[in-house]
Amino acid sequence: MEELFRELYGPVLGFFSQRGCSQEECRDLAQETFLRAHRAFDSFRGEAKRSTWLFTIAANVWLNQRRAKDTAKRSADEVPLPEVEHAPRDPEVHPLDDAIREEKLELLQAAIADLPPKMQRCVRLRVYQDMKYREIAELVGISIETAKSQLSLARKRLRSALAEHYPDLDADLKRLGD
Amino acid sequence: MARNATFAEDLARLTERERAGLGKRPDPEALAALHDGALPEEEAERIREWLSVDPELAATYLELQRSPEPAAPAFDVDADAAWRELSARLDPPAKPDSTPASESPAAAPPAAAPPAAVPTAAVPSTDPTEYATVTPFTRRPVVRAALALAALALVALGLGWWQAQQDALPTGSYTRVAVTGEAYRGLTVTVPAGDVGIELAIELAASDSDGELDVMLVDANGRTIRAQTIAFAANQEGVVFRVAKADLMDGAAYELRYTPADGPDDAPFVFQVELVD
Repeated sequence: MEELFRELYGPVLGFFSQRGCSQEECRDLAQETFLRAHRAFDSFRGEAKRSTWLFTIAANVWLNQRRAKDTAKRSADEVPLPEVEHAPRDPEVHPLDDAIREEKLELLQAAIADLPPKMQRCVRLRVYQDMKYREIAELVGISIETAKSQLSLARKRLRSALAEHYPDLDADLKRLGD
Repeated sequence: MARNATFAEDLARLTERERAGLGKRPDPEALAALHDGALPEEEAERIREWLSVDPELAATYLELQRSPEPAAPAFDVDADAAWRELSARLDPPAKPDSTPASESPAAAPPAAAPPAAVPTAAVPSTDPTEYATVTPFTRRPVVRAALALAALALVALGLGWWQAQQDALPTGSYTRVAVTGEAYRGLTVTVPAGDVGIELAIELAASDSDGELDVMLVDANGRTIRAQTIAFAANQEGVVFRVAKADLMDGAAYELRYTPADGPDDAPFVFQVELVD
């Protein structure tokens, strides 16, 4: 562990410094990174380079820190609302709605399953995760141009399969590109 | 009539359902190996499948892609001081009469070393300005040796029992889930026996008819971790929303969103999850 620390402490500080952390934050986050690495050290299988493994842990530490900061900021910005009673439920909600909803989900599942695996991933990353083309390309392991063309093809295929079931489909599919 | 879900909403619901059937969530080393191009094609595809359905994994992988080999920062790096600080947190300080210095250099950093006045023949000081007080050898009675042996045997038994307890713990990265913000406005978070995840109990207002509740757990970036529509019967007092440990990240903050069938969003319930080794 000490060898890993001495080899990579500087670069790990650099990792956080590149993300705009102060010196103190860099040191705290680097300590957290090495603490986590120490806990997981025995389960390291040697599949990846040790440095990449460590930077993956650093990336997790960084994202957790950012989420915690965002949450704290949002909590501080919020004005507490007075206690409210639960609104009464809509008496018109019918058990049949459940069946219709499930049926629609099954149609969607079938339409998505009809797409090739990489195209499915592109669609999920674009619509579900709201990713940019560059990010989709990195996550799927394809070029940006291929990502764009995959999404364009997916748009056509999904429109023909699902248009009658989703009235606002075009608005959602616009996110897939032209 | 209930509002028609959009394509994006249904795709989110479908994706979250399918994620549950994908098997073991990739750990940091698997993501690192994908980044290094060190995985067989089949395994790489499995992990890319996870990346498409798991926003936290995707964010981690993209962060790794941003700067895989950063250089040291512009400010001074005191690695020795940082190592001393870290090693003090890794292990308890070594006892001078039980651990040879060569066995665990990390466990006895200078800051935690015993004062020079303590008799310590086993850990010679490396600092030439310090002198250890050495107790001369004396012949001890046999009974003291027997007591020492008995004490050693007890320690060995204790260590054996402790090791057995460790071996009995469930496998996985973490063994325990803890949460902060356990109760808030009719919501309660508990960690059920077995530490398989968390349960969020949601109180329901009195109702004469059956209904359903859409519940969503989102992370601090507003991304959905888990969503479920929970059906309830007339006069049912509450529903339980379960989240698996595999879907939770250590130290992350989460927000629970739920909407009565036709009512407005309630105030968010935010809590922090801690996964403990």
